[in-house]
Amino acid sequence: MMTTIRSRSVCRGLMTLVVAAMILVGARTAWAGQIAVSVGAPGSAAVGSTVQVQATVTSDGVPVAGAMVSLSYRTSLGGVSGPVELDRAVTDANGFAALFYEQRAANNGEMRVDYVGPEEGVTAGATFTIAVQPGGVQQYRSVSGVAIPWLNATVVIGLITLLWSVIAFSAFQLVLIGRRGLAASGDEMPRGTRLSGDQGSAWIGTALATAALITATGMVIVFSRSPLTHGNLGDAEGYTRTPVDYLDSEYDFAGYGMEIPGVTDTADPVNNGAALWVRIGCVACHGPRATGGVIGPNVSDVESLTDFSEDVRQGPGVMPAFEASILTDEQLAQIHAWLEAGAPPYHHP
Amino acid sequence: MGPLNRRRDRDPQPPLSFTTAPRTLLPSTVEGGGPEVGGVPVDGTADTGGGLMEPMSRWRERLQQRTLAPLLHTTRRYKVWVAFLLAVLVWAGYAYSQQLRHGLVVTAMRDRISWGLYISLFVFFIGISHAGTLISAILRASHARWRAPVTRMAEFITAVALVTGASFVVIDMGRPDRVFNVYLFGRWQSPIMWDVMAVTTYLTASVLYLYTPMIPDLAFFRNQLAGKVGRIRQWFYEAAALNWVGNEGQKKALARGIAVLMVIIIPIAVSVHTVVSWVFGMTLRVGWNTSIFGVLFVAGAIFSGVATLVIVMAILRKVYHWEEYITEKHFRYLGYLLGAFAAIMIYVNIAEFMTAGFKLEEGETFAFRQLFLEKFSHLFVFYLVAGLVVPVILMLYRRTRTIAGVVTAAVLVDVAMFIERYVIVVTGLRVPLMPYEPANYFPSWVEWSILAGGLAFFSLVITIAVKVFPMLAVWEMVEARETEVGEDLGHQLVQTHSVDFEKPDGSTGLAGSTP
Repeated sequence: MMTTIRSRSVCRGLMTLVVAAMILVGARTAWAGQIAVSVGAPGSAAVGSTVQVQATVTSDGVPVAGAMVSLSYRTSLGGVSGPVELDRAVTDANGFAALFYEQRAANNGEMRVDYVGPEEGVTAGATFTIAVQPGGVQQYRSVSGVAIPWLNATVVIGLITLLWSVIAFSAFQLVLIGRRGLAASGDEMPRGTRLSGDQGSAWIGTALATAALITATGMVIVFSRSPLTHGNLGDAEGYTRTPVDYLDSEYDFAGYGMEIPGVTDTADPVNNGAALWVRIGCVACHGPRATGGVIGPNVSDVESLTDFSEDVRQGPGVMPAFEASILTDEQLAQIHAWLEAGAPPYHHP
Repeated sequence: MGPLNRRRDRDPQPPLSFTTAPRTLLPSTVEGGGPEVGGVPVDGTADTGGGLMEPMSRWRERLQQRTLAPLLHTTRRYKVWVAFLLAVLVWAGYAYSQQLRHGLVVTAMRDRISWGLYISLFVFFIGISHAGTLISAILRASHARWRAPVTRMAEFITAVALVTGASFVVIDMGRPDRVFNVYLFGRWQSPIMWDVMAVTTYLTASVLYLYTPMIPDLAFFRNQLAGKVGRIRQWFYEAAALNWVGNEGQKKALARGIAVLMVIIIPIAVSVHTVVSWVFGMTLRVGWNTSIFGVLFVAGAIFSGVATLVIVMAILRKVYHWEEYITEKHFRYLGYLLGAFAAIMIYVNIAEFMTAGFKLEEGETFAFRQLFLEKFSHLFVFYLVAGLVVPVILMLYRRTRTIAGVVTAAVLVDVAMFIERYVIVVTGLRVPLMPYEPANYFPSWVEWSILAGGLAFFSLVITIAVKVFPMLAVWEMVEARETEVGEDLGHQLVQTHSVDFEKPDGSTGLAGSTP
């Protein structure tokens, strides 16, 4: 067997060489060689980072310039699986091209760099994987909108500072009025009007000016430390925002109508548990595969039914208690069974 | 000296003459008082004619006595009025305590219509606070002399209305204890934050703008009331007058302060009500989604501000017999402003409704139906007719351009503008964003009570301010009068001024201030 295959492939290789030599001689084309794509990529990437993938295109070891390559990864959505193109680039004189993508998903699956052209009918490519670093949570930063370079937060804060400086300047005039009155000789004031001696009293002016100055500084600070979105000055540190979590799981579309009674009345208790997981609302915190979400912990490694029942009825921590009026003992057991079965997707009966 | 003084009028700084300089006032007024002072009745029955031939000093004495009168005499009617206002405030306090205790559920505001009477009042009060800016700053900057008797009232309305208006934002909060989070966690992308910024800026600037030109008059009060009022009030005037003796250095600082403030406060005031309109306009709501909202709000603010000034002016003039100073001319001029702004409002409304109504995009049909045909049509038509058309007609005819006519127009405008604010807030939220039944809103007793409390607070502060502060801008009025007299009788002016500006050492104060 092996020998026949080997001899057959040797034959095919020889045939190819002969044909290639004939084409080389006859057509004198530079593209006659075997095109190969090699890839250099990082082993892992963090969610939110921009990743560079380096591709080199060669023809029989000779770098190919001007070749178009595409970067894609394989994913599935709603039961349909296929490649999703991330970037395209053209090779330089060294046959080298850099491709970029932003790491958004928590799992890349198989990634590919393929030769696209200009030669038609050529299929060449290389597969590789880039692992996604754990802790794949990032803050969402909007990229929509029109960024006008000279119209930014600095201009706004500059204007506010200018405005409040003018107000503070006019408030300072009150201090001046009070002080210049002090300098005047005491006999300009009528007798009996001075209660606080020759020192006079100008504290109202000073107090007003100080209040204006504090308000001015405060207003500028409030605006300056506003968090980083849409080109603000300060960064988001110190502000609590709800992060967007990338859930490392897929969940097949189970059809509309989780509220329809029949959905949770199938013959399979595990399947009923899957529907109840969504209908009762467990999914909101613990995620569609019970592996945990933004709020709830991972509960896929389920405890005994007695402990599970106790926890659900009482609601540990911030979890609400699910009483028997919401969730019967039978339904609770079905959810438990679903968790024990490894949280399989729901299937319509 | 006369020509010298008039030359100063063309200087960039406003002309200032400080007649409250103690040297000129006090010997005759405090220590015994000349026959003129003692002889001036304060009940308003005195000869108010005077004419331009009346000696300046005598005219000034009478003005000063008239300004002081409210502080020295308190009528029974005043006490009853204050007691009434306090009673309303106590009732509003009870209503608010119910709101604090049970939460915003005691109001009629719910999830779909979540703004109501409180926010309407906020917009309305911030609006009438524009009275001070327009009358005082714009007229002062343009050297309109007739403004002098009404500026102080306008500035008081500004400051008091701002405080009242801003407090309604806090009243509208279910958790007022969290108000400081705005400063701790505020982010400048939010129009609410712009509002906080604009109102704070405007309040600071207008308090300064109220106080700075009042210093010479406070010094006059300090000097006049020494020994006549209790120690606390005496101490207050002494502190508030900031050692004012009217020397050159003080005059320069005062002039500089006023000049800077009157210029900066105009753009601030315009920005304030623009930002208030943006609180609505920056949301994706059908009725509010219009670029003309800022213009509509600023024009409406000045409109209702002038109307409020006319009403306050008419009341104080009647109660404190200031007929000599606040004349029919003032009402007529403010009436012209009222008429002009009514016309601007008509134009802005047509511009807005034509643009939206011609295209009639999604949801606009509902908005138009509720404004012109259905639930809010009676309120909205009242606003259009009584608030915008009638004032224009009243100001068109000489027969209705009287004090009574202008005050009637002002009352109509204030009522109509409040209705407009209410209609904007409620109808904007009522347009359904999804296919659900439109919600309805009618204020609860708590909201009406707090509305009454807001109006009572505004009135009470103005009522008390009359008893504490110089409500007529004495030195500015004297200055205006001097210029007026000077134009006719330049010779007499020379004599008056040579006395006014004589310093203790015999030199004239004016020489030092001429650049």
